[in-house]
Amino acid sequence: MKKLDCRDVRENLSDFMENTLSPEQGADLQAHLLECTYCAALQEKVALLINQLAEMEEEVPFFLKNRLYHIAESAEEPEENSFFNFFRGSLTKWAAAAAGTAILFFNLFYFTDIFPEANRRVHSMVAGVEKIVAETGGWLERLKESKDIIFSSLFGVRKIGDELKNEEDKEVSFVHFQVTEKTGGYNG
Amino acid sequence: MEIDEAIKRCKNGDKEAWNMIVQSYSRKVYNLALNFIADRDEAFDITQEVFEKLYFNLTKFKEEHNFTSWLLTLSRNHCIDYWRKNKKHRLHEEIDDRITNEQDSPEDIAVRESESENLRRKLLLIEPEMRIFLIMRDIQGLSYEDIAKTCNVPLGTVKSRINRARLKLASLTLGGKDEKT
Repeated sequence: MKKLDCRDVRENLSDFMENTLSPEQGADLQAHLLECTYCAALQEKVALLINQLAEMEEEVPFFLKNRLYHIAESAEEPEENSFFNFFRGSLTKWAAAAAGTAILFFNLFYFTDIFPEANRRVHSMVAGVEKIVAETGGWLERLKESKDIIFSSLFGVRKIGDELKNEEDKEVSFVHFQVTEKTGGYNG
Repeated sequence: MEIDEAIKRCKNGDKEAWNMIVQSYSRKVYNLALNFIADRDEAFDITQEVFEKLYFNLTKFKEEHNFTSWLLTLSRNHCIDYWRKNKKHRLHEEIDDRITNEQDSPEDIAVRESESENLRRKLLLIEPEMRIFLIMRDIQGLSYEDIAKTCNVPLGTVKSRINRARLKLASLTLGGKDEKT
C-alpha cells in the first residue's frame, strides 16, 4: 500500500468520489482519509456541495420565456426607417437645445452690458423688429378699412361705426339748430 | 418534434418551432447564466442576448453538429465575455460585501439570503473558466466528455479544473485556507 500525502488526496478527490480510480488507488486514498481529519472534512464538504449544487437549477421565469418567444416575432416585424427616426428624434432635441441657448444668450446680451457690441446689436435688432411690427400693424389697419369699404359697397351693409357717426352728426346738427335759434340766425 | 426538425423549420421562419427550441433549451442557458453571474437581472439579459444570437445565427448551424453543444458553447462564450466586460471590476466589492462578512452571525446570513444564493455568490470567487466547468458538471449534470467537447478543451484539463473548483468552493465554505486556483 502506498502512503499518500494531503496534496495527492486533493488532486484525486473528485476521481475518488466518482469511483474512477483503480481499486488500489481508491484504497490508498481511503486509508489517508481515515488518518487525516482535514482531508476527511474536506471530502465531506465536497460531497455536500455536490449535492447542493445539483439542486440549484431553477425554472425559467414566465416573463423571460415570453421575451424569448417574442424574439422570432420581433425579427419579422418590418423595420421602420431607422435613419429617419434617428434624424427626427435627434433633430427635435437639437432644435430645443438651440432655442434654449439662443434665448439664454439673447437675455444675457439684452439686459446686461457685459459685451457692449452684442448689447448694441441686440437692441438695434429689437428696434428693427418693433419697426416692422408697427409697419405691419399699419398695413393691417389699412387692409381692414379697404375690406370694410369693399364689403359695404358690395352688400350695402352699414356698419355699427357708421351709425354711430351719423348719430354724432345729428347731435351736432341739433346743437347747431339751438344756437341759431338763440342768436336769431346767421348774421351774414 | 425532434430538435433537427425544429431547427429546419425555424430556419424557414416557423414560430412554433422557435417556441419549441425556447421551451427545450431556455432552462439550460438561463441556469448557466444565473449561476455564473449570480445576479438574476443580469442572467435575464444574458439569456435573452444568447437567444437573440441563436435566432440570428441559426442558419450557421450545421446539422452534423450537436445542437446542445453548439448552444452551450455560444452561452459559455457570451457569459465569459459579459463577465470580462462588466464584472471584473466589481468582483472584490461583492466578495467583501456579501460573502466574507465575518461579523454576520449565521442567523443573519440565513435571514438575508438562502443557501443557494449564498453558494451562488461564493462561486464568483472561482476563476471564470473553472466556474463554468463546475456549473456544467455539478449543476447541469453534463458528463466530462460533453464538457470537453463543448468547450473544446482536453478531458484531463476539464477533470482537473472541476476538481480544483470543488476544492476551492469547499475550502471557502469551510472558512479555511484558500485553495490555489
